[in-house]
Amino acid sequence: MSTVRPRALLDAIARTIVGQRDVVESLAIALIADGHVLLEGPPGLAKTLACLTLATALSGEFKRIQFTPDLLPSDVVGTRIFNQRDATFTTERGPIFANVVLADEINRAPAKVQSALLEAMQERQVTIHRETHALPDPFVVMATMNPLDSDGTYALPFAQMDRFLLKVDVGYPSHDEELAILERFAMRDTVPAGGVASLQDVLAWRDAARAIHVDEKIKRYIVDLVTLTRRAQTLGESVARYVERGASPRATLALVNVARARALLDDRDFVLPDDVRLAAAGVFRHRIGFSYRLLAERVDPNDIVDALVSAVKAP
Amino acid sequence: MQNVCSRNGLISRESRTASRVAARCATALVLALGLAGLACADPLPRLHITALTLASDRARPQAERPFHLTMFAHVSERIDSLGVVLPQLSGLEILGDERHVVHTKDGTDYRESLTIVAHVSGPIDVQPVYVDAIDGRDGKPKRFLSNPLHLLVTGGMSAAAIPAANAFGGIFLFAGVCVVGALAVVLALRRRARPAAPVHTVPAMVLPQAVPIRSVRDEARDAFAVLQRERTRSAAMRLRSLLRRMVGAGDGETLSEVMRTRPALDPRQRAALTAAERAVFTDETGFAGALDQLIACVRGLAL
Repeated sequence: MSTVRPRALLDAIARTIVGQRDVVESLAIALIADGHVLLEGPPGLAKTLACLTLATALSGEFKRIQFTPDLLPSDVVGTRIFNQRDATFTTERGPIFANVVLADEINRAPAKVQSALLEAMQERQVTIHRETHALPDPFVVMATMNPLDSDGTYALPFAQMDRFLLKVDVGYPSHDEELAILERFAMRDTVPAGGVASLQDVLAWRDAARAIHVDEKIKRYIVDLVTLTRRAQTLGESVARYVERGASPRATLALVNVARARALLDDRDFVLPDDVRLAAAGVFRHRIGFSYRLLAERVDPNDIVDALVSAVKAP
Repeated sequence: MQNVCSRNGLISRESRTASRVAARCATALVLALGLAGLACADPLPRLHITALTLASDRARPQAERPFHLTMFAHVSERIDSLGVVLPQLSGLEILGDERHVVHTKDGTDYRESLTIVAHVSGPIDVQPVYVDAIDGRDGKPKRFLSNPLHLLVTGGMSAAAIPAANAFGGIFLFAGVCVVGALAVVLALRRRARPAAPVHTVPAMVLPQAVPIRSVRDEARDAFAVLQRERTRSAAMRLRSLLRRMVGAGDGETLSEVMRTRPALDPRQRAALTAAERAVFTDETGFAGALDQLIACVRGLAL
């Protein structure tokens, strides 16, 4: 049983990261819910710093992989190296073997690298040559994408997008937050707080989250939300024209796990409709297949997700 | 005063007579409109209205960013439409209007959603929506009012900047007033030349009584008594629903939405709503404690 509250982790990260509450909460939620996070936003919004701060606060091992078009799967998972001295092959583990892995600009790597990451994210293991290696526990991939530069990028396959528990749109800070950033980083050195919680604390939080009560009405609400994404036509042409494909059953599981993690962060042992409502956008925005009209008409996908979520009556 | 049409009389008592003429004109106009209204008006529907609320999806909408006002009504009858009268939305522009009528086991849920946009920043008070109907409980015509809304529009051009922007509009408005005034003078002069029409008195229109729905509190008091007696989850759910209606919230809103869109809620109401949420969604082991907390909070409300 952990004596450290999960909220302490958030407080520690907030001492380094100014604002970006949604990002910080999502990172903590992914950690508790045993999932991965995709952060999308322009450069310079502390996406990388947030991941580094979380890893430092956890006293876990942190690795960063800069994804580029010439990256190879072996650069991520590791490879077999021939040792000339004793004429044997030894396995050199790649940077994926860490507790917190930052996959920076993940959409710059080609499909074969992304599929190598796929096994790691879903199975929590990697195969190097004929050997399968388990990844450390906890293992969280925090990937970033830059929506501004589209040259030399590869769209992430849906199968991989679906494996991210949450997708967070990282926005610009407010005026006051920008002032605080100036004060905190330009006027003095800020060192991320370390050792706030141990890896064992994280495992204990996961056990606690799994024990959180989900009422029958909440379960029905979650299923109603997910199934509505598959029959968006019932909401009329204004929504249906932008939705091609609904969310998978993995979204149902993701919603309940994220809602439980939110309840734990709030020191509750039961899930509220609010937990689900707040989780829905992050769970759905990368799992719903939007039509070409969305791009062509420059419609914000978050508006469509909001329309879907608000159409279902909370219990 | 039958000689109001005499030119001499008019000249000798000009000021008094002119005011009488104006008053009669106004009376005649009101009566004509009233009679026309009576002739055209549909009879009021007989309804048991048990909920009528007005909510916004954003307490602090941004200027030039659409947001939604939602009216929710529940009536015990099965109806296909409801004559909800919207307030004057000054400073707001209506972009769309969607209505949903859902027939339920205990009547009809009516939901109307307005997509609106504010063009200037600052506080906006949205007056209650209302429904005129014969109250099915006592057979009397009444006006059922929802809660009002207080919004704070952020960003965009402030109201203080509007006068400068509207300078040209003011000029056009002034010109319009002058034209209307001139027309009114011409009409009054022409009227003096004609004999006055006899004035008939008609019984005054009986307007629906202006009463807000007061019965929700009564129902909440009853539900609270049932909860204390039975201590069941369903009784807690019933009380939660009524506590929400008391603050003008619909059942479909989450707790944080209720709190966020109603910043002026009393701390005791907030505590009661939070306790009700816990009592409804906690597990069996925590239910007894949650129920005690809810009962204590609702006692503090002094229903």
